[in-house]
Amino acid sequence: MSNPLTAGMELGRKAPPVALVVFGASGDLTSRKLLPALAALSRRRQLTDAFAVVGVARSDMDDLAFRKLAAEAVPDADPEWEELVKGFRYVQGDYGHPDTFEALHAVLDEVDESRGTNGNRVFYLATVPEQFGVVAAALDKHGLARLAPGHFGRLVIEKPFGHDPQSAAALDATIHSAFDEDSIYRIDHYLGKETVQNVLALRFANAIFEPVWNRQYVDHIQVTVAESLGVGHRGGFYETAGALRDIVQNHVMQVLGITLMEPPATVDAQGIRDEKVKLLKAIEIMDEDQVVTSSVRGQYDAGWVEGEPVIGYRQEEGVAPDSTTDTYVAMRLAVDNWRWAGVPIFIRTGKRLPKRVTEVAMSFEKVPHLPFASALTRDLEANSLVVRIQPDEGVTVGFGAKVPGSEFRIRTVSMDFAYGAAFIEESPDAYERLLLDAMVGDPTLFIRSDEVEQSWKVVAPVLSAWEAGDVPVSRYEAGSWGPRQADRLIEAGGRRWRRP
Amino acid sequence: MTDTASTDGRMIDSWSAPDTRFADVVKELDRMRADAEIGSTRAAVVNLVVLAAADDGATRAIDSVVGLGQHHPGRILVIVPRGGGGDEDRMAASVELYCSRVEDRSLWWDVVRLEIGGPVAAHAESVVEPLLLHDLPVALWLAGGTSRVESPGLLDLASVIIVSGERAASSSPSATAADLAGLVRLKPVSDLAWVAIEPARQALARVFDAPERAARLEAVGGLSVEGPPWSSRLLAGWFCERTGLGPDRVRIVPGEELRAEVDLGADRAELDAGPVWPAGRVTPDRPEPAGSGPGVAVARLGSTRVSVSHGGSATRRLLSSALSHPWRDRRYEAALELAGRLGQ
Repeated sequence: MSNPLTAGMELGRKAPPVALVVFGASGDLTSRKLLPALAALSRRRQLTDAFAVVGVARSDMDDLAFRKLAAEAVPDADPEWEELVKGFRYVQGDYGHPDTFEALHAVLDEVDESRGTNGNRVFYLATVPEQFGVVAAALDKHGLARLAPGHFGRLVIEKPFGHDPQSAAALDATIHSAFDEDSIYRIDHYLGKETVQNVLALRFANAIFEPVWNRQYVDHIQVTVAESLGVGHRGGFYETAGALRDIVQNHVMQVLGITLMEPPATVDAQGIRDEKVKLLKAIEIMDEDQVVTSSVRGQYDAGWVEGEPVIGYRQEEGVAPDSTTDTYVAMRLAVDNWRWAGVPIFIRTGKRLPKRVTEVAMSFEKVPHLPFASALTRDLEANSLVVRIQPDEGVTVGFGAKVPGSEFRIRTVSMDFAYGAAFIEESPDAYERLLLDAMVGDPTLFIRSDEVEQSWKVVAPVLSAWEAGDVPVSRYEAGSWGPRQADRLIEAGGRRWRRP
Repeated sequence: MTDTASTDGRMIDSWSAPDTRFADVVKELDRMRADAEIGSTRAAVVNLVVLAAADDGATRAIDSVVGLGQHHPGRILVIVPRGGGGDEDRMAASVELYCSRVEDRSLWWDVVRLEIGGPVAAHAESVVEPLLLHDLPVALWLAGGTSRVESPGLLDLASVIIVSGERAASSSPSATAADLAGLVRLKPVSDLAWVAIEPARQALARVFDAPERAARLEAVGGLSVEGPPWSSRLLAGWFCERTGLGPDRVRIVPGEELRAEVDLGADRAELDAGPVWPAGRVTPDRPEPAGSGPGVAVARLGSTRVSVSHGGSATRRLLSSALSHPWRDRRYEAALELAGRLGQ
């Protein structure tokens, strides 16, 4: 029976009784993202007493050491977190060894008893992707994956979901042998960002945007995912990934899906994910010739970023001196459906660009006729709508306005909605939101298997052509907006990249 | 060092460090805006990047721009090149947050001063671009001179380049004309000297408003302009371009106040625009001397007298006007082309 006393109270969502099992508990992701996100949920009172974290890793630690790690990961924590941490448990062991999972099973039984977690588990795999299948299979083998009715066991994994379509399918098959699709939560932390979710509100809760959200009014779309950082110490990993796999296959495709999809019948997991898949299926799959004309792969050389001299990619630790790995990608995509036919979608992502910024910018068609003297409208640009995902989350609309004065001069001005200024409420971190969703059982902001598959279908021909050497690697200076070839890609249609 | 004070309409927070990094500057900017709880009344219209000179010019430039935020809220970035002395590689920075009340609204702007030297000075855009407020025009004021921009990447960032042609021309007007012509090829240029002589041009133009007087412009015999070197050349260049008068019929005479005589044969038109450019007389302890205040430009032709009053030639006012007109001005560009050939 629900509590009648809480009816009408804005208490927000709360996690049900659950044990969160974190594989890779001694790693960077756990300390940097997961534990602070949990502490924030605790501060917002979205975790109940019937909650526990069980850390699993190879590192030699015991419960006390893990609790110390959890406390140190959140230096400014409040007393609730300190109290919660006292119930954290740790299992040390190899993911390939049955003893690890037997020990985990025993600890989870104890936690159910001591914390009242009711046999519910969320398994978060903060490990290298090679371990995803190993851990999933072991959980199944030890009776931890498919639980009795009335209890849930969910698996949370983070990109990369495979290295190519084949390995993605193989990973999917392994995981599906242990968990049903409904219990698999594939995280793309971009989807946890307020601004990405706000695209849904912007489009479907307002009457003024959706009518112009189509090929009749939109000239082109630009998606930018720019990072000022280089690969740092992740050179070894990056050599096997590259920007196309690391960013385009997942983040960019998800942002495109949300931005360009048809209105769902209902804003729920199935409604949104069905529409995203439909959109991804409408993205034109490039043939070899199209890859040559519509994609640019780049790699950064030495340069200057944020006032510091930085080395080139090939000089980074763990990177081959003759590496051809892409640290920059620009592509022109086409969406073959009724809404977007003929509207070019330009995407670009790169490392060592001048600033960190992620945005989706829609540039609208120019008006058919300007009834003003051309000299007075020289500075007028086409209307634009920019959704800024990070940093300074918000929405900006660019439009023409008369400059005060006796002349009828018109220039472009911008109207700015900034999340930080419009709402007093602190936006939850993406991990905070997604962890809670996984515990509550809301998969809306997680990626479904068919989305992964379709994203790979878009990216795979590009990878193949690049690996065959059809598109040479273009150099760009660190601190610039990418290679000259990327400018030519967009300028061929008389357009130019925004300077976000 | 952090210093927080609460005053209405003035600086409300500040921070400075003699040796810092870019990330610290960003952190302080974020902190100040968060502490100040800048709410939904936020408005921003421009990024003003000031490339100052290493000497006292930096102080002068900052004095000129700080109050601009009231009329052009946004971000003001002052880049000061650091001289030698062994500490060129260090970056000194200060951040100031200002708030001003306009009726019942608050306007916010910040002033970031970065003192950079060594190799980073040649890559100033790498610290400027990440600090720019998004989706706003970038006005680059070359307060330190127009002859050489050590960091060419800054020019790429600019939507409009603001120059102080008069200051640059004090040594060589023809070299200044060449520099400015180079800049005009890249971006729209707004020259403070051109802004300053606007009332003079208006007065002189309007004295020829009547059709019979306008017809007399077809028979102009010569032009004599007295005034600061660049302002006088710009005025003459504009007049020649508009009337077709040959540059060889122009006489330029140095002077502090701007005056002109148009030879119309039997008659002449006169212009007295007063002091249009105070900068030549600026010293560190007297940054905006007398003559900067409101004034009037008067033109006479026979019994016709036209006067155009203006707010003065203080650098701040000229900058404010330049920021309000950040577009390419074909008249200026034509005047510039001729100005370099005058008085040689």
